[in-house]
Amino acid sequence: MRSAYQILRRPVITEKGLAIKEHQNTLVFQVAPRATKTEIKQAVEIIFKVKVDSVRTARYPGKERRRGKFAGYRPDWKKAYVRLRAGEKIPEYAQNL
Amino acid sequence: MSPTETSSSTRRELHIEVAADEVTRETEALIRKYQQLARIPGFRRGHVPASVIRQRFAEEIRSQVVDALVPRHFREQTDKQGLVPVSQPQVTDLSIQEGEPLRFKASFEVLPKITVEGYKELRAVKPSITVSDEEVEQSLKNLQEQHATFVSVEGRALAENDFAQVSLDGKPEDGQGQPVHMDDLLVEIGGTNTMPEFTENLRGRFVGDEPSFAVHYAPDFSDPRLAGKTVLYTVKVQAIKRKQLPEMNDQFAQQLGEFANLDQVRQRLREGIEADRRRQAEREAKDKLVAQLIERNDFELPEALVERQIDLRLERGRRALMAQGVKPEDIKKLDLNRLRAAERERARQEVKGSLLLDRIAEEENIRVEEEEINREVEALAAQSRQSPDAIRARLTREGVLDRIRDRIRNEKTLDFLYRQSA
Repeated sequence: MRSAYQILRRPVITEKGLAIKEHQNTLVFQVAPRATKTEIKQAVEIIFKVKVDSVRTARYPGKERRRGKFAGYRPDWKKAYVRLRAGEKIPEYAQNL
Repeated sequence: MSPTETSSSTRRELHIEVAADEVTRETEALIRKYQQLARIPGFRRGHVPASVIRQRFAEEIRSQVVDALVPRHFREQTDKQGLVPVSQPQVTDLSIQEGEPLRFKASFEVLPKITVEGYKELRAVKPSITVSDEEVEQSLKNLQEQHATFVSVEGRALAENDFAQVSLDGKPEDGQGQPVHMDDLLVEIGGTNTMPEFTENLRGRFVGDEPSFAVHYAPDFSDPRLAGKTVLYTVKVQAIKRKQLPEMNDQFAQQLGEFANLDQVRQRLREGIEADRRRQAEREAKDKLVAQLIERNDFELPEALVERQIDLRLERGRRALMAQGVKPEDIKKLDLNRLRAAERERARQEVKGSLLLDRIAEEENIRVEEEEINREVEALAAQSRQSPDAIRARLTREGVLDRIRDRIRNEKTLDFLYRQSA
């Protein structure tokens, strides 16, 4: 089993990510592509000491990047929307984003 | 809330506190500005939340807040206490925390209270200026020399005081250094500026002769490329010339310009010499006046002003060296610290002098009219062939205009002292 820190890569800091943090009590992370919803749920609960209500995930295939005639791909990645249980406080770490 | 601590008569220290809400206001204004401009991935421009800005640009915002608030409050405090700083403040113990007042200490130098005394009793010697007839004649002779023409002499050898028109090739004996070649050179036989070897080897020669000889230059010869070397010259005599002085008569006078006869030229020369001497005597007398003034009125000097004056003097020295053709690399090699130390005493005297003159100017209500500055600017413009407006704009930008104003004021004050010292 991978550690919680290997599953959560980084918070997704975008307009959308911050907006749903405010309005839907939901945190957005980039997570390991092979992580399952259950693993993500456990990881957030361990790291931030909050109860998770539900997790939705989405996979993003890496975009093609060219350097002249050489083509390559950015890595594929996975995004997770982690909804906290009603009444849970947003952790300070996420608060400051 | 700002006790002024006096450590010496020119040094002051202020403790300044800026209210917390002003710091917050300044910070928020800055954040708003950043919000409009910042481009952060994940956000459209102008839609970045303040919290993200606060985090990403923490350092920048902090230093900008300090840059904005510190000088403003420093000036406010000095104005309120009627202090006139002459140096940039040194800011220490700066503390800035969110939601707390901004605190800092600023130490700086101020002009000491200067009282000038006894400047009305200063006496200068005004030497009587005389120009003797001999001096006039001498300078007339110089003029004659300057207008001399060279006429060719045919059919005889080079004799004393002839000029040989030659072309020459020189080769250093040791093979080191560049060979020289010169055409149409005039060499005076037996002239004071002629190397003796040239005189010896050219005397008695005819046009077309090509003597070769060695010339040894003394180790302290003025041209370092030649000093201490022996050079082999092959010299070709192209022509023999004699210097012919114009005849000293009214015709010569008319040739010089708007003169009708020689006496008018003499008159003009006399006036010129007299004016030169008077100017020089006046300058010396004024220097002495300032020296006396400094002696009578001693006071503590702000170091910042002295440093600035040293900078000015060194800069002037650097320009002078450049003008003499010294290479910038060589100038850089000079020992700056030693030079600074050497200039210090002179700089102190100059600063003292000009501060005292300032005080006297105030006391005596000596002012510089706009017109006087304009005149100076126009003179500069004519010198550098630019339009007066362009010059003025540049000078204002570089702050030189104020310096010109100060200089004119000092000059006027000196004139005043000089006049009343009679």
